[in-house]
Amino acid sequence: MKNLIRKKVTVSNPQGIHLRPAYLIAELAGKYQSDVNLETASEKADGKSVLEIIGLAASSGTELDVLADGPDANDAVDAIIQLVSLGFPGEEAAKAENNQA
Amino acid sequence: MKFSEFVKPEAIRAELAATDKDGVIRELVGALVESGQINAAEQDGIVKAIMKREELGSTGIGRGIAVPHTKHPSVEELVGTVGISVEGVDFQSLDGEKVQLFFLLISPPDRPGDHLRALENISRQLRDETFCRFLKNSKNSGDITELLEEADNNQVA
Repeated sequence: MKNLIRKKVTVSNPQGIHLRPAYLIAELAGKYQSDVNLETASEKADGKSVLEIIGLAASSGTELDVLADGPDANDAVDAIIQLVSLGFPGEEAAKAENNQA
Repeated sequence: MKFSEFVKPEAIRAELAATDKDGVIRELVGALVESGQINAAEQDGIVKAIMKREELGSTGIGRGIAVPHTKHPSVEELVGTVGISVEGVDFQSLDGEKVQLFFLLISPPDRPGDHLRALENISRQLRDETFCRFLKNSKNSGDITELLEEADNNQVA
């Protein structure tokens, strides 16, 4: 059964999708049964693979297409859109705490 | 960003001696000191910064690959190196596998774009399983340098 969902989101955190955000996306995508993919104008990545996500080199302001196909596709897309559009909440706080330590 | 723009052959380590995470990071940062890319006085600070970054979440991204990194004000441009562990090192990777291929990166704090482009290149090349296999089987830094050069020459950008 095909249940393909596709939505757009703009990368909003200043550093872009470096390793840590890629890790967070892959971790989140991995919680869903659906296949998850990310696309920029020129590149495609498996949303469950950190290695592929960093290959997007998505800097701040890049428009991403988030696609999911499967029984929980809608939830998967919405969760990832939220994570990216909020600029990976908690991440900057974790970093600040880390720098103080 | 091509490998040759951030990896100097003298800093490559084909057979890492270290057997744990902390040791591998120390060995690779030490290699960058020996190759003259970072100042010896900054070595401990850089190792600590990289370990702190690991505490946020492992940079072991699966498939036997890790990209330990940090920003550091002592470097003026992105510097990096490559290390291979024949036995593999436990790095708390996403997939639980031991890590054999290490790409260590140190970037100036104000250049996030260069860091992204280095990651992009590492990703593009390491998705090629043949490249990964050859890299893991490299016996010396000359082999690795040649492989990195071939990868650089095959890409369009």
